[in-house]
Amino acid sequence: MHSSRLSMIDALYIGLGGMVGSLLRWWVGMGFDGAFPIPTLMINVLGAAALGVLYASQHRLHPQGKYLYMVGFCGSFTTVSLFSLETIQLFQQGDWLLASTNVLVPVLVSVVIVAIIIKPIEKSVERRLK
Amino acid sequence: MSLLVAVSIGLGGAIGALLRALTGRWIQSSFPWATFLVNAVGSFILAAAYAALPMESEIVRAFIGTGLCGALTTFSTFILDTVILARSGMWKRALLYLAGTLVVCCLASLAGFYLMC
Repeated sequence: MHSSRLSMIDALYIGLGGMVGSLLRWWVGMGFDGAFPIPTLMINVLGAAALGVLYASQHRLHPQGKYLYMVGFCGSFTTVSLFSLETIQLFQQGDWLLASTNVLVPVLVSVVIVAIIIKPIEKSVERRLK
Repeated sequence: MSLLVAVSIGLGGAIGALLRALTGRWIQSSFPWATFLVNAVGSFILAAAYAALPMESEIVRAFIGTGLCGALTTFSTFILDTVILARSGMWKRALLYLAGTLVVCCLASLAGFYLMC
């Protein structure tokens, strides 16, 4: 694979998507104060599903759409750093059940949703391209 | 204050997303090593920052934590890459990537937390 460099415009789109995605993630989690980190879970499942839809229909995006929506927005809206920090905090509190739930639920739900979403969308895109 | 926090998150988020994209350009491989790396590094830094920075330094926490680390790491690409690996018949790799990311990122968080607290 040859290494292609990011153009200035690509970088701007990634930065813009990253900015909006991060601010939206902050806004969703704002003021939440519960024992179980539901905002992060919802953000990650929603963002993963959205990325699945975008990936399957990416031929229809404008050339920089991949950078704006996929790499920038979905990439930054969802987060692993907070997810793993919240998981170890649940472990540290000795709540193994909540900690395991916090890992297994978003991962399994997202994998299933993305796997299911990709197929029919890819098919309909193929049909339209024919 | 809240506006300054928002600006910090937006700026940190833009930089984090760019660093993630640049890492992807830097490490090009059929296995998603780039995403694996940014997720582990971001988990470490966030936990370290969480433990080291006092609650009062709201702006720095917003910039490094919610902005930079939040955007550097990504759950959506992690899941998509897992599904793509599985769909191309590489079940073992998909499972290894899934479990490996979860275990390594949680360990990275633990390491960052205990290193700094």
